[in-house]
Amino acid sequence: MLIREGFALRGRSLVIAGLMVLATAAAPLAASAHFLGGKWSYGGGVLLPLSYVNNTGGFPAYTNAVSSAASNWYSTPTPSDLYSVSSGGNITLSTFSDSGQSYWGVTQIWANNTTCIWFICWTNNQEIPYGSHATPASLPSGWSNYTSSAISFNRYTMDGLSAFMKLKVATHELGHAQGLGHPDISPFCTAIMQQGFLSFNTPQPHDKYDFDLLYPGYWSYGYSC
Amino acid sequence: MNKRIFLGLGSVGAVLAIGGAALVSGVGLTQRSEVVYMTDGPTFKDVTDLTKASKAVAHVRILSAGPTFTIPFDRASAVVSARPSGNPDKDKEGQLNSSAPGGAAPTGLLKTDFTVEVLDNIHGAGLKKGDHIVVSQLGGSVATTRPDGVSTNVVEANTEHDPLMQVGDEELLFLNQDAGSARFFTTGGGIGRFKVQSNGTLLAVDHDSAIAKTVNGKPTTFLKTAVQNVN
Repeated sequence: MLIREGFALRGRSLVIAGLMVLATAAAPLAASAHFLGGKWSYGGGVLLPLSYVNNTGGFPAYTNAVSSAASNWYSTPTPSDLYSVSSGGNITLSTFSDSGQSYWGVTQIWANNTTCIWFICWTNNQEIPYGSHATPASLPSGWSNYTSSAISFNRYTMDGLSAFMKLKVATHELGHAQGLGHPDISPFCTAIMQQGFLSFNTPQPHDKYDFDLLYPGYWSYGYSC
Repeated sequence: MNKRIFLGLGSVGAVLAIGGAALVSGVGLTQRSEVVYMTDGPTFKDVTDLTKASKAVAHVRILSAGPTFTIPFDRASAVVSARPSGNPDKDKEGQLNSSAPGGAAPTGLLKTDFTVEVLDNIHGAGLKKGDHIVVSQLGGSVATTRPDGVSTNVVEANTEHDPLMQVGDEELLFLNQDAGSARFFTTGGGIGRFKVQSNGTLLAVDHDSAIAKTVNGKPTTFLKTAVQNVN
């Protein structure tokens, strides 16, 4: 009896120890990936207002997908607040048609990069560099917060997609435009920032967690896978 | 002592003079910037899935890169829609405006054509050993050149998980063909590219793809056999 209880106690301890090891192993993963590097200026308040110019007039399926994607992000417990303007926006969305590639959507982001040699410095507005995505705000020194972003949708590859998937792509690309990268997550986890066909088209708990980690302040979404 | 101070000040002056001259003339001050295209597109769960989505699969050597060109965006008008609502915490803040000024938007995406030599046709009709075909890729390199020929601004654009091909490299490519131009492009961007390393083993260009885990480090024959076994 005592021996059995001893084994039961030891078993419980092992399970708890195992869970602690898993949690410890998972936490750095969550904190060390999933971002492009850099971010928009944010003061820590309820809202991170960013304007977008939706240059998809004449292609209503894309116009609707973009405005619904902005609503998708607005409904999340994150500071995301994307609103539409007619010109001069932070984010510009366009369409193009190219039968020579398989991509659906492409996002670019710019920031100011100041280079100094001794005390002579100059600043250029550049796109953020390749391979810089790691921890939040991990761009090398000299880089400012984001200054603008551009999203483009390939009509040739997207016209055949359902409205459901068009909204998925628009929500995914607006996630990029706000600083989120492609997450390297387990097969049991879901995120709108995953590429490809998905069974959902709204930000998932993991996306909300990443967003609030990138923009800490008013909102804080608990860790999710 | 005075001589040392004089020499020190003289050195600083010389460096400033050279730097100033370089700034004015542009000599040695080419601005290089790297660009990344973040993308979304179809993914493939395994080699069978990728092969079935491809018109051809070939072992190739990259021979040359053509000039980078631009795929222009549609000249469509801007559409303004109502501001989102329905999140009570956010709604009560009112409609705030962005503190960041709007930026200039690009007019298109960069693309580059690579000429490759077919070393082995693994799957699909139409290609044979020795053929030279053109493979188009998103990204490229453009330089702003002054009238005197000096490059002052070089921009290299790469796609995430699908960096530009390098001349001289060998790759196994899963290909599709643009019906309009007859040029090829890789299926799923970087997902359809596997670099053949100097020791003959493969390295998936998209290291995050599901297929990468099963192919990396394997000999080229492993992937060739897997492709040829697809009906």
